[in-house]
Amino acid sequence: MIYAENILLCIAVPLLLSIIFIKGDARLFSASFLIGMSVCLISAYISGFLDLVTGMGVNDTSVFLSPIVEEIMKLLPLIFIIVLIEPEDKTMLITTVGIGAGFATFENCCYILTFGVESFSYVLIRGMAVGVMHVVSLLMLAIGLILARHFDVMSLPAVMGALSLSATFHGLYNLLVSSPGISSAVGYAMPVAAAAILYLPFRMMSRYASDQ
Amino acid sequence: MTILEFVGQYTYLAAVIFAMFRSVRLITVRRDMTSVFFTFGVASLLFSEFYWIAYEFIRPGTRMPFAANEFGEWALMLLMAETLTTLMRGRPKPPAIYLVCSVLFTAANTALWIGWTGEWLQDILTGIIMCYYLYRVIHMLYISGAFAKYDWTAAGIGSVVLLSLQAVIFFVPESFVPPLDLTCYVLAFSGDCYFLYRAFTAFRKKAHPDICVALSFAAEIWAEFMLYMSSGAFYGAALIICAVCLILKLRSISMEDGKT
Repeated sequence: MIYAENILLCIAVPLLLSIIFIKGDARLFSASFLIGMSVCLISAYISGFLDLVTGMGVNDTSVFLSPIVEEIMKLLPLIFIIVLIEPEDKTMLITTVGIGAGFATFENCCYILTFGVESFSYVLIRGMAVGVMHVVSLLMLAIGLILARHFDVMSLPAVMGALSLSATFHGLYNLLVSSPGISSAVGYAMPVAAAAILYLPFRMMSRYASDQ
Repeated sequence: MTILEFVGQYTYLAAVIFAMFRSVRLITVRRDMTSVFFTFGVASLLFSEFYWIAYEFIRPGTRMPFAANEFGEWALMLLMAETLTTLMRGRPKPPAIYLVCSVLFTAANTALWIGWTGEWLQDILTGIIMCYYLYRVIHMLYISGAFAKYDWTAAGIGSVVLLSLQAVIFFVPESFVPPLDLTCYVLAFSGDCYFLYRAFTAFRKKAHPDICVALSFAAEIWAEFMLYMSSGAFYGAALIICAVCLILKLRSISMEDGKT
């Protein structure tokens, strides 16, 4: 049996080593990537616990509860960074993308090693869907937080608003792909479509952050 | 799903999409906290609506367990409450009795929800957030002077009668339930029609923006409570009222000068 912790160790050690030798944005991205993978592992523990407590079953837990758990867990490091170091927008965006990419990579690795590979096209679809979805949902969260910070409205309702956007988006994806047919096709296409829509505000925000 | 439910669902979705586009434009024009909170709220509502529609499509006829859209609804209420808060900075607070009434009204509603669904945790959390939102709406009604003394009295008596009737339904024989249920619906819908009438009159008479905001939000929160207590065609009708209220809220927020 392959344990998730072993996979984390295998990927984390080279990354940890690389952090020593690189600097600047690359170091920040690698560190965020590591945080994303760790957050994914902790989220899996919590979802497993909730599955046992609520008795909803593995499928319903992953459709209805996991998106909430995962988005809250991804929010925590971002909130921690905002409160502790008050980063610039550019730093925040790099951290966000790193955490999202780390989360998606670790989840995909565990999934493929546990359940195997049906076909190459399935791997591609999964990579394009789950991989992009985690980055996009976290970007939504970060753009919401950055907006709230710029308008000086950083409060519980603002954080809750940003969290609700990412959690509902994630939940919607999980719900759509849980059923075969047209709904899964829509679900698989949703992250890429959302990434395309988000690209414009992301570019605008990155340019704005560089001008600061 | 009844025809009215179907119509209500898609009318509401259309209203939310319209409000989303308009409120994003409001941010770019005004760049103030009120429009940011309002837009965030509408965005949460939009995602929540998409989730509902997807759920109805994938698992029709089943009750939705605790899911991500619940977050959207909580966020919507918190953000709408915060939208009002930005308009009330530095204004006087209402007497404590208003807070007590908000708590009692929401607590009674929460007890009924638990009685109907049995979802303790979910209903209590929704109740707490709804209580905060209701208090903010009452605060706005108080400082804007939108309600005269007889309005407060009528709202109080109406609420007590409605909640008492709903509670009585749990204990009466089955044959008494349909007429009592119908009476509750008539009372609830009459209350919201009154709020809507007052809001439309305020807009028509070009009343102070604060009054329009207070009355539109009051109509909307009453419609929210109605949504929680309705089913079938009545639920669809409540959704249509919610759609109207959302547009009124957007219009009233646009009237504010955004000096926050």
